[in-house]
Amino acid sequence: MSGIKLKIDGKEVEAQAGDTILDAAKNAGIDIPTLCAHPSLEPYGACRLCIVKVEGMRGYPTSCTTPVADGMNVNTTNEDIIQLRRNILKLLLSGHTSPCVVCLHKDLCEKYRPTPTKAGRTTRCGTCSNREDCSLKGYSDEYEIKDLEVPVIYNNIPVERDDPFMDRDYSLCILCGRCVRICKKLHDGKGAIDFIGRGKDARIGTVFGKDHTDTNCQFCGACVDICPTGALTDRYAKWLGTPDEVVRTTCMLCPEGCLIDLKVKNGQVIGAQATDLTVDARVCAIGRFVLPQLFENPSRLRKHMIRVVDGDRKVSYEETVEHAAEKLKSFSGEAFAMIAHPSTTREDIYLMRKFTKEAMKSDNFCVVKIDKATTLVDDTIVNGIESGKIKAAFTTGDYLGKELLDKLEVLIVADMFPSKATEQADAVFAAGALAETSGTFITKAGEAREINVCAKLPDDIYPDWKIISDVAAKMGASGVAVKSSEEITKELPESQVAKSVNEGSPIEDLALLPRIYRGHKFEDIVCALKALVIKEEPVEEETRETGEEKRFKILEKQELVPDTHMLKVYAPAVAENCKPGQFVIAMVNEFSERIPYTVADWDKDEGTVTINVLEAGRSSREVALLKEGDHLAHFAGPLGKEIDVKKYGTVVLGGGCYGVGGIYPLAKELKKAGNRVICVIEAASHYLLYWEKKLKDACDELVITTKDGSRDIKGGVQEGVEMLVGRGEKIDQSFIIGCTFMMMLVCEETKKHSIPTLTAMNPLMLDGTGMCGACRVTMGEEVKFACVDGPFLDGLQIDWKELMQRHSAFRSEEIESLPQEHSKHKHLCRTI
Amino acid sequence: MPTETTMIADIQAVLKNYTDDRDNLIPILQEVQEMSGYISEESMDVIADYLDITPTEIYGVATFYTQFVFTRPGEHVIKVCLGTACHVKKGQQIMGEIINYLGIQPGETTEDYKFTLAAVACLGSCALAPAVVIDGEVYGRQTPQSVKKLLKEIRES
Ligand code: SF4
Ligand code: SF4
Ligand code: SF4
Ligand code: FES
Ligand code: FES
Repeated sequence: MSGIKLKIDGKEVEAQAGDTILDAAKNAGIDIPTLCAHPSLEPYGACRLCIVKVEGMRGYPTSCTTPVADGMNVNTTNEDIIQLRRNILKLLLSGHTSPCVVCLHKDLCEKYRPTPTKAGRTTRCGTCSNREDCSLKGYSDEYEIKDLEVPVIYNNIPVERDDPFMDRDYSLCILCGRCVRICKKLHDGKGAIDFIGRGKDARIGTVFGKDHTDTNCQFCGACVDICPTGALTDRYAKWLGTPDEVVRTTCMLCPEGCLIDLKVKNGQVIGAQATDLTVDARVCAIGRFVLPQLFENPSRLRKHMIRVVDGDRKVSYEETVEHAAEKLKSFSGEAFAMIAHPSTTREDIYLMRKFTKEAMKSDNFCVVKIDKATTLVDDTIVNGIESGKIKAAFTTGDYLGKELLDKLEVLIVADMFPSKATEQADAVFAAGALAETSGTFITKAGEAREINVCAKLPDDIYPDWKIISDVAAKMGASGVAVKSSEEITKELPESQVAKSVNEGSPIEDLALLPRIYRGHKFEDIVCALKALVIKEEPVEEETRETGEEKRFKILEKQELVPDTHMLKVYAPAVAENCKPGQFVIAMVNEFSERIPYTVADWDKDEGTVTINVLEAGRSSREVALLKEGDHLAHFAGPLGKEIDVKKYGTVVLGGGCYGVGGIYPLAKELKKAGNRVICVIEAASHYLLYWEKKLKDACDELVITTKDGSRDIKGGVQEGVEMLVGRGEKIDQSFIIGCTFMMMLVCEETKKHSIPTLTAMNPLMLDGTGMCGACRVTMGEEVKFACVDGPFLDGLQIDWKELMQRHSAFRSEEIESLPQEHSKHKHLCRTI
Repeated sequence: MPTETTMIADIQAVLKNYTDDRDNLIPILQEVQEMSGYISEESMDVIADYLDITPTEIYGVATFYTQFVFTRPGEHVIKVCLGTACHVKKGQQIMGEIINYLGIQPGETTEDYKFTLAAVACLGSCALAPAVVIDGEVYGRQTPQSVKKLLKEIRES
């Protein structure tokens, strides 16, 4: 076919008829920024970021919609285009939660805070789980957007958290329409989401804003995967960072056997996605959202066990193999049966059959059949066990009822999850399977697909084939033993093409979703699935009885600004003794972490203590989800040393986030003591400022700083201090309350001017008793503990760099304890 | 008030006049709205079925045009202007008073289907700011007291 010749940025480029300028440029290796365009979607032309100049054409056409023509002369990067693109980005950013993009401290922030803070909703890149992978942020950095120069708006649309698997924070949506278009494309024109409303009220949503479970949404996850911002996220994967690699394998969880890409980080599966955003490549909700959650699942078996006279014992793999072989030895022949699940590689099934035949000299092997949520074992085996003919079994899951289990003399189980079978078994192997093994799988259509090892198994845990092989070897059946799964593949007979019965697919019908794996219901392993497969009524929350009616009752609760919650708690004993600078320890229930919170206010007469909670992790999320009238399980304090309330002269109080509330009692007391009190507060943007009036009334002057410059001084507390020093203010003392990063930056500034600075080291504390040592601070030669010696310590002497580094090391562990909540079923759990 | 089932039957009658071509969506919506005064969740499902599109798509199209409403309106529709002039003249206070008195937010209807409350931008009665329109009639220069009195009269009438 004769090509079309055109010039892009002076380069001769050849293209095909029907190509767009964007296609031609991409083929020629010329990058044009795009937001609404996507290789899997038809051209759309909405965001206008991809504009170019075409000689002889008026204005700036969008390259994603303009077809190439012979002799065209295109410029993609002249000064005007760059300027226009900058303006487009600024407009997008002004309605997005983007203060971090234009923050003065961005580079240091990204260095010292390598992982995003897990907030309930995203108010800036620092709390956005998508920040490493955000087109909007990427282009804003590339186009060096330093100031927005347009009013910053926060849409304040409540986050949709009630659906399984997906969080939808439309306050971050830039209305590129990718999600709407991909949903329509993949589902025969029938989208579950669409543009709702118009003009400035336009947004993405469902009919009447219903939950996705009440629409035709198939939970394919395509919208999440195509969204260029952090608006749509996979609740399980969102805080796990970006994968190191993506490994293609086959999902074996139902006969479809879809190809699927697993995202892997440090050898662990952190997510899944379809191999392409096309109709043919679609996967179902189980493949997209449940499969990746099986591997690091909290309920997973991680230890091998053998039954001994006085109970169960955790033992090594070797010992388990020995024990199993020893137990099975005397049940050769018809007394033995082996039972497997169909979601198993062909190799493993072949080896199990061979094991049964050669090592055990028995014909009793079966692969169970699945009927919706029930597992059906072959009648011969059931009858055999019932009649006492079969006395020993080796199963790969929970297939037999209690009665049958009781009849068995010996039971060996290799499984990923515990069950009544593992409880009763003589030997339990914690097994590796699915994406932890390799082999082939025959799909419903009769195609043999490859299973690839994606995830690393922990030491001493092995895949099914190895367990079978080792037990066989131990029993002297060396013909069954193999060194690798590939060795079995070679031995396999020509694939017996499975019958292709077309009885519908889970990809198109949620009612056909696979429900069961190795006898375990998926919804018992990944409980968010309940909302999808069981249309049960929400579970009523248990009311917590405390005995004392008002003790630790939340009398008032308010979300002051996004993610910052004010709680007024009834705790007269605490209120009675409160002094400025002190903190309390709160626990939502007896299982939650002990979290220290700076006291923001108290009232001795009312017997109340007020704390401001930043929703930034599992525990604070638990606190944030409480309602007025609820009770805290524990509320202890006041703890820590109070500040020295005396006359200093001019005192600067710096506060950020919860610290804005934290400095309030200091302001009141220090003012009473005759000081001139200047409060300097910071927030990422104007929509995150709170208690302005309260603070203003309590001090002599209130200085406001915002990271995006949307209110007053652009920057943070340190820029506020800089301004004060610059105008000749002589500051005698400063107290700073905020995150570690913010206090570090402020100390750099106060150090320059030798301003005595006390910083509240609460963010370091884990348990507030000096036991955990997490709040260790190095000050010169000395080591101090924030919770005992502080919270206020001399900020000018703290080794901040060391502290920040140690702190980011802690972070990854904290991420382990993911906050997962789905309010439909009113409980918190780690799987989603 | 017709019951849900007769309403569904009525909508099906309307649909008989149209082919199942998606382009008929807007005329269908207009006719349904004219007939029932609003477009209910149920009617949207019936229309979606007929045109073989999703209720979400219909909702998307329908919310693009301000003429469509989705909740059964009350007997009396109160529009409070929050345009620039009315805003300056404390239109928000009037709104606050009405919210208090009726116990509903803008966009909502009272439980007895007596009143529907709406916030609107400029009604073109800036000279009369702050203005309230009840059932098409403009009431200008309102105060929290006068508007309360007005609503009381309507409620008791
Ligand atoms: S999950 Fe799939 S079906 Fe549901 S809205 Fe997203 S793209 Fe559409
Ligand atoms: S939710 Fe994401 S994909 Fe959908 S329109 Fe918004 S930014 Fe685009
Ligand atoms: S349909 Fe779902 S469960 Fe079945 S193989 Fe595909 S992704 Fe896996
Ligand atoms: S990418 Fe071309 S207009 Fe959005
Ligand atoms: S870089 Fe995010 S607040 Fe500074």
